[in-house]
Amino acid sequence: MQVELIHFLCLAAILFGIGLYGVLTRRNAIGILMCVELMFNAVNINFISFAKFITPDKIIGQVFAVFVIVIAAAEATVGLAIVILIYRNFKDVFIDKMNIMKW
Amino acid sequence: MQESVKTILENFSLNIDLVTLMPEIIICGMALLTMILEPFLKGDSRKVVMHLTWLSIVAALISIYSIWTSQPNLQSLQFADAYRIDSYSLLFKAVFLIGSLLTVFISSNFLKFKNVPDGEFYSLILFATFGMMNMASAGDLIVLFIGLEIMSLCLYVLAGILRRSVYANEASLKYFLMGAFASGFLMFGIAFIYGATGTTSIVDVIQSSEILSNTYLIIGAAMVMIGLGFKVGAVPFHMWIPDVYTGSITNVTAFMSAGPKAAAFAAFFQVFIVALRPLQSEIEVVLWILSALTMTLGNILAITQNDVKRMLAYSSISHAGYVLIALVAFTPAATTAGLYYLLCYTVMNIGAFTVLIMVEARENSDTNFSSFAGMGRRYPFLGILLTIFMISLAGFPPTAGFMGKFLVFKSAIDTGSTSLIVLVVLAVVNSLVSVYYYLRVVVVMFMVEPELEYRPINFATGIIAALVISMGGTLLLGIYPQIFAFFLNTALI
Amino acid sequence: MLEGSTAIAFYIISFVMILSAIAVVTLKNIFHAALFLVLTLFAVAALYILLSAEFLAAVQVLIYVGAISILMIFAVMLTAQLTNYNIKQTNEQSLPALLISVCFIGITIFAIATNNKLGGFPIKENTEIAGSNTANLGQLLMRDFILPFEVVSVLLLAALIGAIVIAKRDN
Repeated sequence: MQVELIHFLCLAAILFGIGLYGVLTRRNAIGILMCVELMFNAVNINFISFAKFITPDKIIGQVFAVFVIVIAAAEATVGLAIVILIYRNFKDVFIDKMNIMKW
Repeated sequence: MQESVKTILENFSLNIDLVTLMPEIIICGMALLTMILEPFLKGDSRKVVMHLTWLSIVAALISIYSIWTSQPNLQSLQFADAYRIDSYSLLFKAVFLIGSLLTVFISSNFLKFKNVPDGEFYSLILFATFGMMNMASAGDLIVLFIGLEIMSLCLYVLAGILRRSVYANEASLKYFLMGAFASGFLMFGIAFIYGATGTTSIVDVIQSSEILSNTYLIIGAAMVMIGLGFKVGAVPFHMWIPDVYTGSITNVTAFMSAGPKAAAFAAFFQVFIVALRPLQSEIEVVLWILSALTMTLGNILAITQNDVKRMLAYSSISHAGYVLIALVAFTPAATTAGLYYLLCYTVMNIGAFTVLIMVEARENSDTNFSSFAGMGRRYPFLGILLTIFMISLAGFPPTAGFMGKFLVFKSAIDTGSTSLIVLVVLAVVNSLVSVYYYLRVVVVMFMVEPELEYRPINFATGIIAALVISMGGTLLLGIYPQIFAFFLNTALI
Repeated sequence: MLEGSTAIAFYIISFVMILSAIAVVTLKNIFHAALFLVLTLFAVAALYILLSAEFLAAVQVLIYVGAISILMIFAVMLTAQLTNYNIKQTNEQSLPALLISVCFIGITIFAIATNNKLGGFPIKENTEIAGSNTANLGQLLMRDFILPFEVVSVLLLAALIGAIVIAKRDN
């Protein structure tokens, strides 16, 4: 058994696709946020496997992955703050019930 | 070990030139300062924050001007090539700063009217502006992406800053979810561009991919296109725009439609014209379709709106379509024309929003067409101003909107390609269609009697300043195309 | 290229990751979904170790598992009645969504695989730094990427301010 770059990339693509499915089907805002985190992780797998297999002497991919994690944390913070605010006003975080304005 | 650190430091230079970084330093410093000052200020002295904000933006504009005049052919790569300052990025920054300046002017009174705490508001505007400046100057995709995220995070919050309004809540959540989703695609694309070329430096991407063109680069380009398409609101990734623009507080809508849109286009220019030039022919086809869809659908949907704010949201979609023509054309002249168009759009659009805010900031008023009834008779001067802004948005001479469109179309026709000429014809037809909904406001304003007793409009100092600047800009950019000559030696590439 | 036991480890990790990711997107109970997210993130951290990115594996566990997932679970609990089993957690678009994501996965994998067959891809492996990459990463962060490293602190500050502005109560 051998594992090469392509295996990692396929794994990342599958994880990204699963996240994509979740974003499109989840009604709950927190659920959507979790699926977005799956997508971000798929991106990181890509970056780190490219770093290992393409540029092992200058691992820019890992640097980028560090920033992606930071950004994911920042987005989660702001996103959950918005969710809490909405829960306070709507008593609900279901995205498809929020149709005061048409989507 | 110590030896090696020493050699590293000796062989390595960050090449920082603080003078050319001045605009960023001023904006970021002031964003921090407003946060520190804010808790110490009570009552009327809180206005200090607002005054410091606009003064710092003016200072940043002045520093851009002085860099521009003292170093005309500036090409400086700083921070180990991660930051690129040239005349093109300087002009982009000037566009963002003008947008932010006008936003600050129109915000002060309106925030008080809507009972929004204002300290953090200015800080977030400045942080967002800082993020945009990073996007325009990015020499590396990492910097571009972090700048984009700073801007977006601030905008998610600004969209929901009117916390008690369920509309603003909804706008904020939708914007956030769409934005995070788009960021996922953007990063996935950047990962593949990195995989194809082994670098994330925008300039290096071209050089290495000349050797090593492969499908990874195409996957990367497609994903980045989706991600940035969401950010500029190109059809079919536009569905968040109407809701977010309508739900947000109006001064934030004005802000979002100007600076951040220009910044997203700056990213578009950086990635697709500089970094991915080897894929030019493929990208052109996709952008052609995006451009045609964006301007047409934006226009058609704008016709059916009964709310001026929502109409302006759809109109901003169609304007994004016109700017995309500059990207399809792919020439240096087109990039310059695209930038000029963004400047024109910033000025005239915020001008229109300023009048909208004046109408909205009355008792029991909203942004429907009916709110404008009779306004032109009561305040003929204001009516004429709004008419000029609308004419400019529709693209008639002698206004900025005409000049911007003319230059973009001309640069597209100059390439001589048939597909571009078809696109320009489509754009002209669209401009003619757009006259209907822009002038509808004017008709309501002058021809229709108000239903209720007329409510007075409050002329605040900031609003008047914004009106003067945006009107001056709209006319100057339209009448003196010599200003465009000022832009000419600044083509990207 | 990974061989032998690491290859087996890769397949086990991928299996766990994909199954738990599917659980995250499909489970009815949002709280359970959050727990499966933790499992997915752990699997990703394990994958980083295979890719000789030990520092990132640690960061992944600390920040993703330790901070972000906990934040999610807090949010789930604060919006308590939504964990109720009877509330529908998915909308009616599951079929088109399935189609879109399967198409996405299919096209991407196809593109990756064809590129691999053409052999147009230079894979060089540096055996010298097969061990820890952390020092290498640190040098990159402090030299070539010092600007993003600094700017990202502005991002964190902006996110902090933004979260407070949004979530604080009116006095």
